[in-house]
Amino acid sequence: MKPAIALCLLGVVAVMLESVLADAFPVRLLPDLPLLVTVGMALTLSPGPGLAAAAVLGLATDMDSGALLGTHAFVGLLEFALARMVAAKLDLRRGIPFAVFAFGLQALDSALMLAISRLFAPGFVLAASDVVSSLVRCFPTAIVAPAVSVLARRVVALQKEAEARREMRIETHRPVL
Amino acid sequence: MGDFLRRLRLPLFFAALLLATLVLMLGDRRSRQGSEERSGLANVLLEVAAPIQKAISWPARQMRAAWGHYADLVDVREENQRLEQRLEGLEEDKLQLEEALVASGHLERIVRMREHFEVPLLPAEVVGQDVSPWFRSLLLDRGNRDRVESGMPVVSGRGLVGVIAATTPHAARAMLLLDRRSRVDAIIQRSRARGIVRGAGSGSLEFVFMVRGDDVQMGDVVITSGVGGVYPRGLRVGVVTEVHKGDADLLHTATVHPAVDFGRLEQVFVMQERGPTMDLLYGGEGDLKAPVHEAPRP
Repeated sequence: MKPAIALCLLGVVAVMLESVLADAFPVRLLPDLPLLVTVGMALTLSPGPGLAAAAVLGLATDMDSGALLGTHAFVGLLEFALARMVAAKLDLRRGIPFAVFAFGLQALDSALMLAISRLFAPGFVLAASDVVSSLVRCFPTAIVAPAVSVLARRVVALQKEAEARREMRIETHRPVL
Repeated sequence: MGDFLRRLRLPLFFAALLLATLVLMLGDRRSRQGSEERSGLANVLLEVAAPIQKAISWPARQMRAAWGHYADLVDVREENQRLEQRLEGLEEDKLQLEEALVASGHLERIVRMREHFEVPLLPAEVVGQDVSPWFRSLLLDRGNRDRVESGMPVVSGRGLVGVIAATTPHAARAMLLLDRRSRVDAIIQRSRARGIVRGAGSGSLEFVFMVRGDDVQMGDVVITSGVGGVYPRGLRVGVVTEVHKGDADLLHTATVHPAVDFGRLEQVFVMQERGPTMDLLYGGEGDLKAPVHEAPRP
């Protein structure tokens, strides 16, 4: 459970960082860090806690967005499931396959977000420039993807290492007889 | 049977989470349409976001402010001399205008108008930007404890910024003019041609107007019309940069460059007044029922 909480916190920090960066750069030029952390969750966590963590991270992203509450959480859950399915067939731990997957997933993310907003958000009008924005954002996301994947794995490994150490300490204190 | 259920546990958990997010979305949609209050979870998330955002963005803001101060100092002497000269000229102009107004008996009427339109302006700090490229909103560090309510216009020194879309006791979300859901009834200052300014989702705005001759031209200033009761009359919206005219179309459009630089907003002002139309449009949306609502306004 602790790796899930650690990745959740990493995701929340990513959302906040993205919001601060959005102050200085157009959002379409920024990598979608919460999306990459969600994929990191799918590749490193077991499905149950991973799904819960993806939903919480989605809600944290909704908190920093004008989108309807639950939109990012809904899309994040679908992305989590898709990433697990693809990871079963392809080795996404390597840099280039992960970057290519992140590129495609970013495009899918944009399409889903636009479709949901068009369907549910009152007054939301779809414009041609949205397609361009969506495609532009795929590039920074793909470039940053391997680094975020390594970071997510490192966070989980550190957590597991700490847990293992605690278990070992308990073992040494057990009475011999 | 037990084994079958165990295998179904994960798909059922996934489906339950999806369903929960769908219910949240539909609930939020209903609250935005004004039919019911914003959900408790939505309010909690908005309330929690503002202080965290403020803390995280603090170093970046400090660095930007330090750089800004340095850049300001470089030109300050020259600027000061220029402003002093300008002030002298303006003092002279003001004196002459006052003389002319008193002479024509209009001064008293103008004072009455100012009193009528003057609304309390509450300064608010921008603590976060929207992380989605398709929605344009700001997170502000003031909420309904400071008498900020949904539907109140948000302005900066340069012009209209947007409107408050949701509030909690200590935070508020303002929908920017640039957001595609934003609509503002506006007029061209020169010709008084009326139309609707709507967000294009990008960095510019779109002015949709009915054609009656050449009453919209490049360089025209667009201001709020005051019609509709959401925004007061006369707030600067932007400048027309391009006019698109199709011969067959009754409605033409113009591209408007916003008066406000939305990328550099650090502080805004909430106009703490909303008319009866605003109450009808935004009544209850996103506002927690706090005792402060019942407090009399100054």
